[in-house]
Amino acid sequence: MGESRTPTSVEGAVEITGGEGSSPDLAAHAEQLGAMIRPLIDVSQAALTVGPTHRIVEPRPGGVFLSLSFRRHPDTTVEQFRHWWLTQHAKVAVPRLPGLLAYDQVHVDHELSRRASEAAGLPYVPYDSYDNLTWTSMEAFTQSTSNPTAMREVYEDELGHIDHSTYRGSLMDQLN
Amino acid sequence: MSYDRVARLAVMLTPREGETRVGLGRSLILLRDQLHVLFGPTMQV
Repeated sequence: MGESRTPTSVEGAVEITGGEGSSPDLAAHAEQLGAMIRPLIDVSQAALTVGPTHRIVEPRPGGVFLSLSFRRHPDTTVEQFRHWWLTQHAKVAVPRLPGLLAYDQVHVDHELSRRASEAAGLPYVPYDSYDNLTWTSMEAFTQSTSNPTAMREVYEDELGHIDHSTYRGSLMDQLN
Repeated sequence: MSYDRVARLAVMLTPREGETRVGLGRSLILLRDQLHVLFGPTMQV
C-alpha cells in the first residue's frame, strides 16, 4: 500500500458519455477512438475505463476538472467498494470541497473495460473507479483543496477502501 | 449488458515520446470536431 496520494500523472483524458443503456455502444466506439488517438499518445501509459455514471453533484459549467482513477483496497470486494464510494465517501468529500461545480463517479465495469481496451488497442488496467470533479479555475481548485483538516478527513475516510498506490490522474483544462 | 443509467468511456492519456502536454492538447483540439462528428456532443476532451 502506498502512503502517498500523489497520483501517477496523466496529461489528458478523452471521454464519451452515452445515454441510458449505452454501454455496448460505447464499447463499440472504442475501436474507432483508439485508431484516432493511438498516433498521439504513449500507448503503454494509456488506461481505458467504461462503466455506469453516478451523478453526485448536479453539473454546472466549469473550466478545469480533476480526473482520477484508482483501485479498491485489496481487502474489500467490488460491491463493498462501490457501496462505500457512493453512499459514504461522496457525503464526506462534497461538503469539504467548497466551490465544487460537478462530481461524477464512474463505477468501472471490468469485463467491458477489458474488451473495450482490446478493441481500442490499449492496455487494460483493472481500475475500479474513474471520477470527474469540476471547478471554475485552477485557483478555485487550489482554494477548494487547501484546508488541511478537511483534506485529512477525506483521506482518512479513504483508508481501507482505496489502494492509494494506484492513483492516476490530473487536473485538466476542459477543451469544449 | 446495459445499465439503467448514463455510461461513460474514458481514456487517460500521456503524449507520445518527444511530445508535450501542450502538443497533445493541440492535437486533441484538432481532432475535436472529428471526434464530435463521430461520437456526438457528449464527447469531452
